[in-house]
Amino acid sequence: MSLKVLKKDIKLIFCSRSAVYAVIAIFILEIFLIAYLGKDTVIPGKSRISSHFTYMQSFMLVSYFPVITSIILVLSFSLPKEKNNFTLAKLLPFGESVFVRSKAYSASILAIVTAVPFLFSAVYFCGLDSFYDMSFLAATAFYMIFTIPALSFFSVSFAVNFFDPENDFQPDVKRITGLMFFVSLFVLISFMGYSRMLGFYYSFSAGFTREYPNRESFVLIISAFVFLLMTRYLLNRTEKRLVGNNLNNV
Amino acid sequence: MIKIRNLKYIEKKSGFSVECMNLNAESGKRLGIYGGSASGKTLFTQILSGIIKNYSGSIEIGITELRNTYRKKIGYVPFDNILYRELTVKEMSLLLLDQYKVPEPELKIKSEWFSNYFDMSDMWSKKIFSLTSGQLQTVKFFTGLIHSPSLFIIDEPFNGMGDDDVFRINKLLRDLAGIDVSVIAASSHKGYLENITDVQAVISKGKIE
Repeated sequence: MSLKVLKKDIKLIFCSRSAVYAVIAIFILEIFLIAYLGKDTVIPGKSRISSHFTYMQSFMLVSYFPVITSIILVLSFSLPKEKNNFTLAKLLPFGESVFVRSKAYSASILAIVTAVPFLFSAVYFCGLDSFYDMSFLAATAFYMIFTIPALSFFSVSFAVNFFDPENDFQPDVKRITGLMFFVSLFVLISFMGYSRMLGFYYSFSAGFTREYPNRESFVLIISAFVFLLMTRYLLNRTEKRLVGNNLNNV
Repeated sequence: MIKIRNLKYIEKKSGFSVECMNLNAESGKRLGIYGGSASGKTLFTQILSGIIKNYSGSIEIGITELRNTYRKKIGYVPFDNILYRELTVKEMSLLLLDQYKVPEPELKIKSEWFSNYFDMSDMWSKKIFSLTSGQLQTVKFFTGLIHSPSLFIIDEPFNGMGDDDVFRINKLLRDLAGIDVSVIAASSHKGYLENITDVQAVISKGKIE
């Protein structure tokens, strides 16, 4: 993937004032969220760790917020600018593939830029010492590294397949609701699944246990990696569908 | 050399069809397609440029069927703007060079060559949306030729151009033909089209005669 293409896609997003305001709003909201989560909420009978536990309970859901918002920004401000330019994609060597991949990667980059500082500052300001444990940090980092692009791949594939290309890929209410349904479903399933299957993840992050089990790190990383592979396959199918069967697109 | 045999394409939405039984354009020749509005010129140029794929019949470019032709060989100037409005002319040119895998320093060589026909010196730092229609058409010509195609297709070459520009376009297309680039230009301006092409065909209600 060429840097020039990625630069172009990021530029297309930020040409819209609404997109710039949305990104600024994400950062402001993140600062307030961290300030709120960083406060100790003393629950009777529990220790000061309760605020960290509150944070970690919402960690999975909260960290999706900037990721999903960034993906929506790409779908709302970058993809609709492609109507006539998609004709250009049909003229360029591997144009359709570049078109689909650049959208997915630019969504991933924007998501990482908005989500990672948030996570780091949360770890620092909320005093989440557990993150300094290497195996725990590695498991969480790999989980995010695999999940963020996977969600971007899924969303871009969904948009290219189901939004109307004749209408600037503008999502209508039905289709954007459909996308949000699938993404929310994924977030809820992963939250519920991980809460049940990876109980140690939470108790470790909350400081209730000091031994972080490796088995759970593997479950976390492998499940995210499988999701990434599935969505990458979906993105490949989308590229092939756009290219068509019989044209040499070199 | 372009050979078109039994070409037929039906647009799904409108049911409008484009047909061409037999048409040849020699290498280094300039073919003009003349037709009124809604005669099917744009659809025809889109088929020849490879944008529309699901046609029946055959279109041979050289000895290769269009479906198997490398995209690098075709340069296309469509009626609509297909360039990114938010990018500057230089950024757009560099993006295209990158996609066609042409080394970046060639931009200078290409722009110097193109200045023989049109002056783009004050356009490089301008964003595409801020160009006048004549400037945009000039940039479209430049970007269509940036990868040195062997077939150059233009839909409405005089779009936004003045009378003086007909002479420049003529010079550009003649020089392209001189280096064995096949040129196909579709226009609704018969007189101008005759000035810039060697042979002409007529398209009416989607049928090319």
